[in-house]
Amino acid sequence: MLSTEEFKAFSTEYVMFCHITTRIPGRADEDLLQKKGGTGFPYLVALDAHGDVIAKAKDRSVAGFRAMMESGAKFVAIQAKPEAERTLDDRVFVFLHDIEMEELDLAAAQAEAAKFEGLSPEQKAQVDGALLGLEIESLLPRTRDREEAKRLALVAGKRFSEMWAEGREPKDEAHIQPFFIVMLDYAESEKDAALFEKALAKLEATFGENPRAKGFFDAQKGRLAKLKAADDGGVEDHHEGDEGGEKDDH
Amino acid sequence: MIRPLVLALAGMLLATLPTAARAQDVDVAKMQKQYEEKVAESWFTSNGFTDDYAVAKAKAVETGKPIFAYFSRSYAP
Repeated sequence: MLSTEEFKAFSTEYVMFCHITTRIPGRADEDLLQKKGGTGFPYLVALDAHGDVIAKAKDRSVAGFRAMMESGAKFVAIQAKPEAERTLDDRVFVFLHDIEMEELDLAAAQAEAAKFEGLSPEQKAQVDGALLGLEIESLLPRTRDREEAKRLALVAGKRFSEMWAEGREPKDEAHIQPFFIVMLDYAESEKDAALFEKALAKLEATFGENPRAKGFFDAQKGRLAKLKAADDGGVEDHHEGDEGGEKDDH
Repeated sequence: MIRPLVLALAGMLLATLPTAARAQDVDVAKMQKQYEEKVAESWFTSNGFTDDYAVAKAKAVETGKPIFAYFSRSYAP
């Protein structure tokens, strides 16, 4: 994609910087990836003239790069305005930007959101969506201990199923994925085939067309079939550790 | 008995040192070559990329344009 004419045209509009991690000892700025918040390759961001990250790429296409650069430029322009001159739209933009840049945790974001008055329905949906995303992230397990992570995932799955029942569900792919995947595990642990099926349908509606997800969906359909069969009394309950689900054909 | 053993160990160490130093030289040379190959690729040369951070920031100040930053690596594909 970097070799296309479309990218070549894009490259004339901005300062083009390619940082290369070489592992050559003593090379200047060798650790710049980490300093700018990158954890893997490729990492694509917009920087201001001071080198501060002002936007991150959401999708790896020229249109996505352009949106990132425009978002970064808008953020810089708003920051340059005196606070009194910032519109509600500016403040909402900065709020959403700060969440995207991981500069606000849930509590801080909730405090900021409480200051907004007179939001349009569209702005309110954006703010609520961003807060919901942070809430989902705050509930996801953050431990390397696999057993503890499993336990916490079930706690999160239970909470997510409650949030869903209250009519709160994420609309963006980045949060739809963990929200419903964790719910699958919870539904299975509760032997709740109906919840499992509904959560799986939500995932399929968003990711079902992705050929790379076929294996995942096939596996989930297998889990659902077992849950349904267990509901019908046709199969004995399986125990933790029997994840392969295969029984000897005796 | 001890002295011959020390001498033998010293000899072994001396024998390995040049090899270790050469191995490091080879690795750095290889990394340098990989880096040079990376910046010679057409996507890099034909799209106005610089890999100098200070130069990129100076250009941003001079032109008033933000920096599109692409982080890549040369030590692996």
